[in-house]
Amino acid sequence: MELSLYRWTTAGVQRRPVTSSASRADVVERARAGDVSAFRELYALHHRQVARQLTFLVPRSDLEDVLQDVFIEVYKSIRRFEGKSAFTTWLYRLTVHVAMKSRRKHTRSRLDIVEEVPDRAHEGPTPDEVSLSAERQARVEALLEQLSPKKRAVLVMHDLQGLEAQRIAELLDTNILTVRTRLFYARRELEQLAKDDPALADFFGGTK
Amino acid sequence: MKHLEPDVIEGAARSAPEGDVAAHLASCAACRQHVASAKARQRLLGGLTPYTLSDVAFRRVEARLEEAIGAGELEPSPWRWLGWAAGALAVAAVAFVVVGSEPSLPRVVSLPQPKVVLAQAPFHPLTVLATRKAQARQGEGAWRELSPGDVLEAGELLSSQSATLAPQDDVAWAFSVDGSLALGGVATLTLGAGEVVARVGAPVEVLASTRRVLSHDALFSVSRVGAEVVLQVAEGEVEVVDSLTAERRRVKAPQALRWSDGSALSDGREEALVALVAPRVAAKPWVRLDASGLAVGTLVSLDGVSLGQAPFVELVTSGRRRLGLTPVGGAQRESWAELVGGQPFTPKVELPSLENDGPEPDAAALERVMSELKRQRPKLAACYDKWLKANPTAEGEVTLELLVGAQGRVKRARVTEGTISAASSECLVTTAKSLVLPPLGTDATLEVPLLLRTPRK
Repeated sequence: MELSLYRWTTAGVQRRPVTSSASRADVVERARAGDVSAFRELYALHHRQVARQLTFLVPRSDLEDVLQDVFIEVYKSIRRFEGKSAFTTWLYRLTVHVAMKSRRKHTRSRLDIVEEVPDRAHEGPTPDEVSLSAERQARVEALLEQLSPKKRAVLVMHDLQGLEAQRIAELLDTNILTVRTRLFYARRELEQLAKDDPALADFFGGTK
Repeated sequence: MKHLEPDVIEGAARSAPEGDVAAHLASCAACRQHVASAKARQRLLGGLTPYTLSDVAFRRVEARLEEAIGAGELEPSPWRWLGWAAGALAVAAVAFVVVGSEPSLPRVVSLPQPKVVLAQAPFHPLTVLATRKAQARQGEGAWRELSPGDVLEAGELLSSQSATLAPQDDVAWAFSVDGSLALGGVATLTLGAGEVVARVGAPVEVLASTRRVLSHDALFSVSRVGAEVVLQVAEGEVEVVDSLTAERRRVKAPQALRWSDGSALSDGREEALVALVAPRVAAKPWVRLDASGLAVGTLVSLDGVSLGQAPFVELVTSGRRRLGLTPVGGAQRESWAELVGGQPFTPKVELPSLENDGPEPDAAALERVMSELKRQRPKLAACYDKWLKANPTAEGEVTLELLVGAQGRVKRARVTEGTISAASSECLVTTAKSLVLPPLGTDATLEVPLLLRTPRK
């Protein structure tokens, strides 16, 4: 049966595409001025990017809630964005802060989690193009959750999202030495946790 | 010996080391160990599959933000509401703390509670009545295969080709599902994909995409493929609520509607309503009927109601039930089956079969048959005489079951109840089979009670 195309609106406000950088800047300005419709457009423009940045930073079952928390914080803090850095940088910094402060929620079903299109994310180093089984993936994610928020953030941003240490230091408002130290200990802790995990120990088989 | 720096170790793990690094590694066992560990970790992290939220989840977040903003839950920066002087003081104080810092983000991000707190729907454990290739898991736990009698709790995820479930404590509602769903939480059932058919006599809420289907008394189905939701209401009435806009719409039987996610409820397209088969709910006490031993494809029925094709296992009602077995390409055979509550039952094709009763014979024909049976009673009494010769005090009550053909021929006979010697029982069966009764006009099964007693003196 043929299906008609549906126009979709939310709360009576129809979406409109925002494409050029000038119009994007305009959206931020209008949001700063308290224009609620501009805030909606910010969400429409950036929700996928924020969700991608939150991946592995928070448990996947919390992704939806933390995404909501990020945009709540955007709404509350947008007036304090002064334009000294790109809005996306400011948003990334805020996203990481919210993720690091979030408490485990576990309120959502995994039915709403879908695999990301491979070429749109995961820019980190991939020495071997080996994808993990679903179970192993879950185990690795569980290990990441065991790291402290600070260590996890640095590890995910550096090793999974491919950011340079200097950039991470700027985003976390700290110095590069601290980033490197956290990264070193995060990696070492993760290796130890993985070696102790029966499902992952064979990855380290040759190291024992 | 000085060990390699972490960055160098990472590089050596990523690609084959050369020069000084290779030379150092050749002589430093600890460094080789670090490189091997780093390589393993890199493989581990490199193998992670990125994920994101579904479109529906993104829209849900958007809807909650809309609602929170609309309700004034999210207060903007405080100085907006302060007077000029107080505002200047607040700005000065903030500047004092974070002077020179571009982001001006608070060091500690305090998050307000989202206004929309999704209510947890009441949920009672569900018993699996019937299932085919169904599995469930709690949270992140391992999947477990389901079979009838298993109990499912709130928070479980169910994936099934076919499963029928009902609450343990009552039978006010039941549903069958073909697809995946989550139990409890923000709705009684949250349909991931597939179809749910529900017969409800109690408040039940089914969430499919952004549509909430609320029902108190109805027979309906909700199916979802991607962002398409189809609702069919065969009996009663249900209410559909759009989770994003809170728009509501009542759908009365008989009606079938199709929506696309994001479309207004008023845009629902009408469709032809297909016949809905309500999930069958067996009354307690349940018997676990295991048809997995039958030939594949054998059709199994109880009291004329099809249970499906073997192999399967299902909970059914106890009692004396008419069991029908129809092999692939063969004719149906029926027999009586005693199903005892709490005890498993395994149907077998070897069971003695009873042909279907035809239409009810007319009363006059039946009367003629009973008169003939009374007339031929001495033949049956001869069997009792044989028993008395062996046991002078023998007496008892038996029921003789006769399958009488349309022309009056006794096609089959057996003693179904009562206490009697084996020899006498065999005698009764043989004698009954020799009887020729008046034509009944149809095949019929007669139950003839016989009282075996010597005349009182």
